Amino acid sequence: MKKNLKVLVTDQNKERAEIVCAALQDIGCEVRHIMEEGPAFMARVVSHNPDVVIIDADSPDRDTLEQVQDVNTIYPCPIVMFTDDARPQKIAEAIDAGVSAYVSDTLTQERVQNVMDVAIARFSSYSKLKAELNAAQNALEERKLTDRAKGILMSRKGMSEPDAHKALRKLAMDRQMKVTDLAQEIIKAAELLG
Amino acid sequence: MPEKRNKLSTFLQTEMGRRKVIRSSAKAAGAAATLAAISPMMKTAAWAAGSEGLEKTKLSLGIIPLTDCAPIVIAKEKGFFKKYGLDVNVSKEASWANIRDKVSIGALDGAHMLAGMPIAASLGVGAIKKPTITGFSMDLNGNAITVSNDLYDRMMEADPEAMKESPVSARALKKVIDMDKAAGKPPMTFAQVFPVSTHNYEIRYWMAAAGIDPDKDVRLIVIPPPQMVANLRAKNIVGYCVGEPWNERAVVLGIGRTLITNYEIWNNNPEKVFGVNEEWAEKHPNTHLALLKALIEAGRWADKPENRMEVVKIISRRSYVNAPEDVVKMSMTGSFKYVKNEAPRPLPDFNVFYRYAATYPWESHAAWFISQMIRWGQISEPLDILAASKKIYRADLYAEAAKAVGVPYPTSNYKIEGTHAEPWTLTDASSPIPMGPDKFFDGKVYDPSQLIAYLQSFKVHNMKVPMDQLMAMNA
Repeated sequence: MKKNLKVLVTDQNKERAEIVCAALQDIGCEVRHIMEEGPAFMARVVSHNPDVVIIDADSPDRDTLEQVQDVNTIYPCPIVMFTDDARPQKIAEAIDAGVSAYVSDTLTQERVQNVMDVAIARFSSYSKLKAELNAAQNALEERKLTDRAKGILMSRKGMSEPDAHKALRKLAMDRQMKVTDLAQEIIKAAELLG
Repeated sequence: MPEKRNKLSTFLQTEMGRRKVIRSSAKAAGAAATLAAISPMMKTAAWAAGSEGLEKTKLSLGIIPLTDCAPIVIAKEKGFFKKYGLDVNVSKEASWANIRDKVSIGALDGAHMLAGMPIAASLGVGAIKKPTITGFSMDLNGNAITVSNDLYDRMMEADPEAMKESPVSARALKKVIDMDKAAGKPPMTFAQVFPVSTHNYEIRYWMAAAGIDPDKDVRLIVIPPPQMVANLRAKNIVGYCVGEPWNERAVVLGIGRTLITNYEIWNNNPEKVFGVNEEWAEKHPNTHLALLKALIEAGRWADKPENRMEVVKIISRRSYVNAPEDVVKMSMTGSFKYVKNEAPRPLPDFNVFYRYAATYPWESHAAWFISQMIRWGQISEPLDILAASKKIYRADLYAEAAKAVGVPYPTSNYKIEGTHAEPWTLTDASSPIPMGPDKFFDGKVYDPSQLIAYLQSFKVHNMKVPMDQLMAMNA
């Protein structure tokens, strides 16, 4: 019977961390979640002596964790970056999903792979969900802005709604700006000019 | 862009002038121009051509939100990428580790990198081994070492004479460390930003010159730049080496004092580079050349004093550095504040983007970084240092781009450092190039043709490469 893998999940996003932790527990890992930063973060990592550290790839704390790979590190943690030379595709998938891992160099590839697959899957599905939610919110916000800008053009330039819409799109294209950025400028301009 | 703006203001004067709604303030004029430009009469500025022969035109380049991301951001915002047929998306990344990994797997076409990063990636130092190159150096200088007020006071007490020197040495710090040791106290903690960062080598160089062993006498840890000031305030660390605006921030808040800038540690030292993976460069030679040309022009533009305020305005934006303009401005306009209640001291070369051949990837600079990686035990296998440097710092690609742009470029790949205290002229160049000083604060001379002797001259080190093997490969 193999010993359970000790996995440390370091993620400032509590919601996502809970999902990842639960999924890792399901495959038999002993999981901890930490949220510290800076020196406290490294001290916690080392005191747990994990087999695998899972970290949000968009966290600046990744650079702090990088020092576990430095030979002169004051943190005696036998951990290296997750590198599966046999399957470089996995690294790409992990980066795509926004997750990185640092693993004990004594672990077999196969055992790490399980943990990575679960982490990658959970990070991906979480970010997909978030992206959908954000897109919906942004669309609403953008619609409000363009409507206001169109209103300004209609009242100031006497344009019809379809003309204002066309003018906005055309100038945005000419200037290689997003329509919403242009709309914001127009609103600002209108405010300045009173 | 100015041409377009002029057209807009002409239009504005006729259109809006009649309505007498405008005061002559430039702000109002700009705002009105936006409204005026809606007119369908406006001609479209044609998308610059020039993309013939490019293997790829839509690119994604990574940056870390620091003031020295400027050459990439300026190349985008001032149209230099476009001029060479490139459509670039600038991607803000959260960590150097992310930049390295994304360039390595090709998720980014290229990126803003610490000068040591292409070397570390190529040699597999703390990274997956992936040959990575640079044909463009992004800037010189830009970092400093700041300590807490408490530590400063202890240093003053320990050795007031040493503290009077400028640039200041770490001799007083050594005395404080010795006192702590005698009292049985644990070592103090300092921070820098990445294992293979310029900051790491600078703070180590400065400490070691005073006999401090940065691996034994202090704890030297990695903390991301935006977390430095808070950790200094919380007394988790007593000092750090970081880029701007994180030294000035501690000074202005009155929680720390800057002791020395990296300009003073080594005048006009290399800082960031533009890195791509070698495989990418081989698949996209024309695109890479176009990138280098655009970056050379951007660096030249950003270096002109009259353009610096516009650079500040652009890079301060939310999508880039995302910091207040007055904070970004401090380090970009030639002065540096070391202490809260003291006037800023002039430091005109704190940020150098083009002059002094700043954009040229000197192979001798790569060799210097390799020498420090050997010195501190990060490289443990012997290697031919100059051969590795030549493969990673691609002066040949730079020369090709510079020739095409029509600007002078060095014709030698090596430069001795530490012999010029005053400005000088580089004559090993397509036409003479005015250069800045290149002294080290401890008076050492770095001669890339004497690498072994240079390495042997360091009393404090943690070398793991067997010296005889290194000598055999670098004869």
